[in-house]
Amino acid sequence: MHKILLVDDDIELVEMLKEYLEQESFIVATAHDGEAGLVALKSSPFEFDLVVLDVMMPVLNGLETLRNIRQNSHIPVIMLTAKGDDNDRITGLELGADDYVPKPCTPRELVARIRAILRRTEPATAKRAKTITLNELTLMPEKRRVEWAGQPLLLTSTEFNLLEVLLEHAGSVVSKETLSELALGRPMTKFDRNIDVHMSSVRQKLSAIANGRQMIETVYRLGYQYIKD
Amino acid sequence: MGRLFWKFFLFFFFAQLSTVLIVSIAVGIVRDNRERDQRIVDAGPPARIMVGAAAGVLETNGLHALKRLIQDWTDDAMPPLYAVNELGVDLLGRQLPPKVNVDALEKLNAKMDNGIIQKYHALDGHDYWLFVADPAKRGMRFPPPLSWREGRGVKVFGFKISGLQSQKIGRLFPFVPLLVGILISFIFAALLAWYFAKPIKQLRLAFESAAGGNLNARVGEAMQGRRDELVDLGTAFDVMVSRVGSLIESKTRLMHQVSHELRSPLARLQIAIGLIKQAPQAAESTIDKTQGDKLNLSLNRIEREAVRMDSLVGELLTLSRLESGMLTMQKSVINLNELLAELLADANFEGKSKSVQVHYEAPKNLQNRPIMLLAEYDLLQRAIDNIVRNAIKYSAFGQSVLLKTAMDTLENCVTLSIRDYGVGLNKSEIEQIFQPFYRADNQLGAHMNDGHGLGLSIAKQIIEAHAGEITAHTTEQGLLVTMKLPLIK
Repeated sequence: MHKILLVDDDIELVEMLKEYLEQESFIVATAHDGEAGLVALKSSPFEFDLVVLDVMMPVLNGLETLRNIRQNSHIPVIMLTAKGDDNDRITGLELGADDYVPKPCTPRELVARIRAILRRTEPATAKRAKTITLNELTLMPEKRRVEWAGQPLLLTSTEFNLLEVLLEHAGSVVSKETLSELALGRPMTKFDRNIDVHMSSVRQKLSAIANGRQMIETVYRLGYQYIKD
Repeated sequence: MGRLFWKFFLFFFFAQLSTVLIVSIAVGIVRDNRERDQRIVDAGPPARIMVGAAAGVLETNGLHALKRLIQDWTDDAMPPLYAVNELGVDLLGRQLPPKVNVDALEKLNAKMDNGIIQKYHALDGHDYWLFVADPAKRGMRFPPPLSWREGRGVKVFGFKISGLQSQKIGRLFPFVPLLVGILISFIFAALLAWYFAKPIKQLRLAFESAAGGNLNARVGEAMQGRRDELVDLGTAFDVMVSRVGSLIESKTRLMHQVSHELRSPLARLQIAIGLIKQAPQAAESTIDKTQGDKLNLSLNRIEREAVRMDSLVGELLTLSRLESGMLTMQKSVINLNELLAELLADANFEGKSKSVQVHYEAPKNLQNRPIMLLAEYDLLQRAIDNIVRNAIKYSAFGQSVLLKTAMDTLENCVTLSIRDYGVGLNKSEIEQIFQPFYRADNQLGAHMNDGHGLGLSIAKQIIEAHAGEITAHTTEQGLLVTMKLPLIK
């Protein structure tokens, strides 16, 4: 049973969503503002598998809460963005959210997104348990750890998945559609900037640890490629 | 340069040009007439001196001396002086210049008394007219000054003009002022046209810019330094554009908030529908009672959200009508006490669930006296009701709300104040509470799904439509809202 923390200021909505998710056999805890959400994350007797975070909240808004969470946790986060503009989405993704769902959305879609993320953050299955090593980079799917020359590289779960897919196809170009299917667990949608935002974050982190070397190449209109040599 | 410039320019230029031409022609005609009279004699000062001298000689020394003098002058190549008697015979027997005869001389002598012709009765019994013949008639003028003749020339504005040239200028003389006049009128017409056309062009550009969607277009700055009706027009334009701009901005903000407000109930609707879909079998089988209850619960929720959205849209419509002044009010004379009594009963019923009591206080002189206002009963009641309900909403369990009336005889109005003892507001929030969709950022308000944050905005619009005033103040505990409404005089 997956444990999910729902953080939203709309009490009625949270109640119904909790009921819905419980029907889908999740264990759900709720909080009604960012601060309460952070407290719930820290003091909970069990570890959550995923956080659903509303952007528009009193006291501490969703983006601030996310920033706080990311300081010491890589727990998958889905943002609920009610605003029509993309700013919140991009900011959310840049801050390390794994996905966003525009509000209002059908609960079915939310559950699909939750499942997609949980599926790929699952501790490695037998199929991909193999450790991948390429030059200084070592990726250990079973531990969900990445190291560069023995130093740990801290990635969010989505970023980890993206890197994993690229490494599996190192030396060849992987299209954004494939990346979305394999790493995000869902097909790419129109105007989807998800992959680009996550990718830019992975590249930044990787380049910082690799002394400025660019290991991932953007192939215009085609996708991304991890450089083999 | 636009059409307007050319219209102004041509109009003023032709006006000035025709003025110059007409005036110069008129002056020319007058001078011409005068000259025509004098043409037979020379009217210049030297001629006058000669005539004077000749007259003196004739008077003192007689005809012979005059004869000799004239002979001497003729020998010296001086202009010919004639002495003609009443028979039309010259003293020296010379032929008279054309047009010169006794009648003409007599007429001219009678008309002019400035000494260009002198009549003298000589000792030989004849009358003599002394005059110098007109230069045109005799073929030459008085010789020009010595300096000109010797080719030394004169200096005009630093240019040396030789004798011959200056004579030419002299002959051209009537045309020079004419040309200068035309040139000056050309310049002034152009300046005047530019002076009118420029601000109009600026205005046009600003209008075009505003029409193109740039509501930051202003003309005031470009017109700085001017002071006339065109600047007033520009200022009016600036005021209009900034007013329109702020109106549009507030409408856009409202739109944004409305779409956001509608999304919350929609989000809940979708989840409620999702819940029903989750258990489709339950809807068909009535055996499972808990599933059936759940379905009912979800349907109730859906209904509630629909009602909520409907009321939000309704309130928005009211607000928009009030703001645009589209709501035609049917004002009549009403008694505020009656309205309040009705309202208090409702409010106390409403407050019962929270054990909130609404107390009414009025000064003695108002208690048994009707407070007459000119108002639309339903709207005014709605405004006051909104504020009272708001006070109840933000009161804690068991608290009370105080409603007070007071008379302001000085301003001839009634003051109505509503005070609660709830959480209250920050000073910075006070100014915003009458804005649509503003909700106090406190724990209590944020979690309440009822109401849309439109009640106080509607109240404000209604009170202002009744020529009243509404203000909010913070107190040590809770919020105080004060309304002022004018009484019937």
